[in-house]
Amino acid sequence: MTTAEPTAIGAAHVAARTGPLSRFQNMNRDKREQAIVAYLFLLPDVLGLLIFVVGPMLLALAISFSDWRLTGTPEFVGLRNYDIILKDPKFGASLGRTMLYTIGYVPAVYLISLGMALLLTRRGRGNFFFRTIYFMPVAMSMVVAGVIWRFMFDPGNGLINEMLGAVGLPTLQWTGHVQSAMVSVLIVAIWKSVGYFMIILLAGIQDIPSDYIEAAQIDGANRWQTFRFIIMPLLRPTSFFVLVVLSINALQAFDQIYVMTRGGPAQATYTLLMYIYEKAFREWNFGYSSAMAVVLFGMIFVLTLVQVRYFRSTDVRQ
Amino acid sequence: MKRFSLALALALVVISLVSVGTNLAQSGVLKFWTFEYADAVDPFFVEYIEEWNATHDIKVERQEFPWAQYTGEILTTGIATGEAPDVFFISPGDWRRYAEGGLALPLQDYIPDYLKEDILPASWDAVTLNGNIYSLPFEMEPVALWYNKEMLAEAGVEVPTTWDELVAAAKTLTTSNRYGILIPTNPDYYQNFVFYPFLWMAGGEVMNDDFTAAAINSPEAARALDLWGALVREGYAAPNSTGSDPVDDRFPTEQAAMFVSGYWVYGWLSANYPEFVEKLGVAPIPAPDAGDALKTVYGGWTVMVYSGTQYPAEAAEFAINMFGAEDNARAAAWGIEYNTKLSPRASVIADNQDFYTQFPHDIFANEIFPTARPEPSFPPEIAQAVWEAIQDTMFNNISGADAAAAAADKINSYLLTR
Repeated sequence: MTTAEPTAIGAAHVAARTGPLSRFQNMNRDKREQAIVAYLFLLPDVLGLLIFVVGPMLLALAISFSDWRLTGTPEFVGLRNYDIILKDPKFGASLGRTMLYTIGYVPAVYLISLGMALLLTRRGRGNFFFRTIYFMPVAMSMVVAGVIWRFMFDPGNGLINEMLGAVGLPTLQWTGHVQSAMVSVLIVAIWKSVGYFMIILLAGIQDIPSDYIEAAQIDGANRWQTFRFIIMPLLRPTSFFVLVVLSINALQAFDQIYVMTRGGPAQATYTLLMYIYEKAFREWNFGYSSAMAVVLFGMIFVLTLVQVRYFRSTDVRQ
Repeated sequence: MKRFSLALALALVVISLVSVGTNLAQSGVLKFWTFEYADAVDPFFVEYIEEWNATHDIKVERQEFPWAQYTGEILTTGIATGEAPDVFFISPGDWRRYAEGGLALPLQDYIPDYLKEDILPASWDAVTLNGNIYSLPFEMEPVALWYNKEMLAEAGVEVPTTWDELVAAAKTLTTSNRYGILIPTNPDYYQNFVFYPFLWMAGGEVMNDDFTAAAINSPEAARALDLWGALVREGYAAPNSTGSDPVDDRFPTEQAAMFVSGYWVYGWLSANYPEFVEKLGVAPIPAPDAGDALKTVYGGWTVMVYSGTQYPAEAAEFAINMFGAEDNARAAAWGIEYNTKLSPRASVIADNQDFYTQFPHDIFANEIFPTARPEPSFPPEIAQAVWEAIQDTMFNNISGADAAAAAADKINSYLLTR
C-alpha cells in the first residue's frame, strides 16, 4: 500500500495486528466501512454462486458415489460408477465426438474472431455498425439459435440450400446426414460465439500501445510482420483467456445439439453432455450421470491447467 | 453518502434473501400438470377446474409446460426435488417406468364400476401392471397415412395399398421442391411409435410374449427396418426433423405429399391450415403385401396420480372425473370438440354416431381403429435400442438385418441387469 495518509501510517505504528483478518482490522474506520459496504454489495452475487453453482457441484460429487435411480433412496457404492465409466464404450464414443467438436470449434472461433477484430481496429465509419451486428447473435439464446438454424438448414426448402443453389453451389443435407450433422451444429455454435470473442480480442489489440506499432513501422515492418512480431505476442494474455473459455465451452456443448438433432442422426452429434443428460433424465441413473459430469469437470480442469502452464512458460514478458 | 451506500447494500442483501425464501410450497392444493395444448383447448381444463374448485375444499392449480420440457426433465426434477404434481398426464413411453418405479398411485379401488365396463378392455390392459391400474385412459389416436389428394391426382398416383406401391408412390411424388413422404427422424419414443405398425404388419415384434428376451432379431423386423431405411436413404422421405414430428408443417405447406401420423392431424389442420383440409385424404397404412392384415398402433396419454400425493382420495377423484364422469359429455367433448381423438369409452362412440359418419372420423372409427393395437410401454433402454436400429438403417447404411441383430443384443444385455 503506497497511500501516504497520515492516519494509516499512524495506525500501523500503533498496534499492527496479525492473523487472518489483520488487513481488515488494521484499517482505519473509514476504510473499514468502505470494505463492509463493498462486501455487502458482493454478498448477493457470492451467495448466488454458492447456492446455485458450488452447492450443486458438491452435491453432484456426492451423488456420483451413489446409486440413485430417482425412486428409492440413494445407496452408497463408492467408486463403482467411475469403474463402469472406464469400461463403457458409449462414454468413450461420446467423448470422442466431443473432442471432434472441440477441434472444430476452438480454432475456428479464435481465428475468425481474431480476423474480425483486426479488421475493426482500423478507424472507419462502419465500425460501430459491424461490431453491433457481429455481437447480436451472442445476445440470443442458444436454444433459439438452434431452432432458427434448424429451419435454415432444412435440406428441402431451407434458406441455406436455397442460397447455395442460387449461386450454383452443391446443396447439402445438413442435419439430415451423418457426415454433415456435426458441421451443422458447429456452424451454429461458431456463428453465435465469434461476436463475443471478437470484442474481447479487439479490446486486447487496442490495449497495445500504438508506440510499438509505430516504432515497428518506422523500422520498416510490413503488415504481416507487425502482426506476427508485435500484435500476437502482446495479445498473449487475451488469447490465453479466449482459448481457455473456448475450450470450456466446446467441451460442454449441448443446447443447440439437443434442439437441432437430439444427438442424431444415428448418434453423429451425440456428445458427452447429451449422454450425461439422457442418462439422468431418461434412464434416471443419477449416480452414473453425476460421475460422468465429475469426470468431465476433471478433464476441463486439467486442460485448463495445461493451458495456464503453457502460457506462463512462454510469456514474452517474463 | 456512506450511510446511503451501506443502506443500499443491506437492502440488496435482504431483497435477494427474501425473494429466494418466499417460494414456499402451498398446502391444501392439488397440482395438476400437462404439456402445452393449443390455446383453443384451454377452456376444457379451465371449466373443469372451476367446477371442481367451486365444490371442493382442496383446490386444483394447473400448470402446463412446453412439450420438450414436459417430455424431458420437468417431471423428473419435480419428483427428485419433492415438488411433484399430484395429478399429471403421462405418455405411453414413460408409463412403464413410472408404474414400475412405484411413482403411480394404484387407482382400481377408486374407479367406479360403470367406468370399468365402459372403457375398452385393451385400454385397461395398457395401463395395468401386476393387477394394479396405474393411470386412466382418455384418448386414443391411431396412426394412418395422410396424403395430399391434389398432389396424388396430379402425379397420377393411386393411394398405395402395399409397401412396393408405397415406395413407388413416394418416389414418383418426390421432386426438387417436395418429399414424397414424411416419417419421424428424431431418435425418440415418437419415432418408435410410428414405426410399430410397419413392424407388426411385417410380422415382427420387439419382445417375446413373457418379456424375457428380444424378438426383434427376425427377417420380418429386418424387412420393416429396411423399408424405413430405404425411404430416407433414397431421398423420398425428409432426413431431418422440423422439431415437431407429430405435426410436421411441411405437409400442409406442400413440401411433402404423404405423412404418416395420427388422428390428431385433422384437428391440428382444421385449426391452423383450414384451407388445406379440402385437399386432405387419409387411408390405413399399407400392409407389406396385397391381402395382408392391416395393423396400426394407437397412442394416447393417460392421467396418472402421484403415489406420494398428500390427498390420494381427492387426487384420484379429480383424475377420474376429468374424463370418466358418469355423464360422458366432457369425455366426448375432448375428442370431438377440442381435439380429434377417439375415446376409449364405448358409450362416447355410441352416443355420437352422427359425428362419426363425417370425414375423416368415419374412416378412423370404422376402418383404422379396429386394426389398432395400443402402443407398448417399454423401459427406456429397450425403446432406445429400437430407435437406434431405425437410425442406423436410415443414416448409417446398415442393413435391416444387422440393425435388428444389434438391437436384440442391446435389449438382451439390458434384460440381464433387471
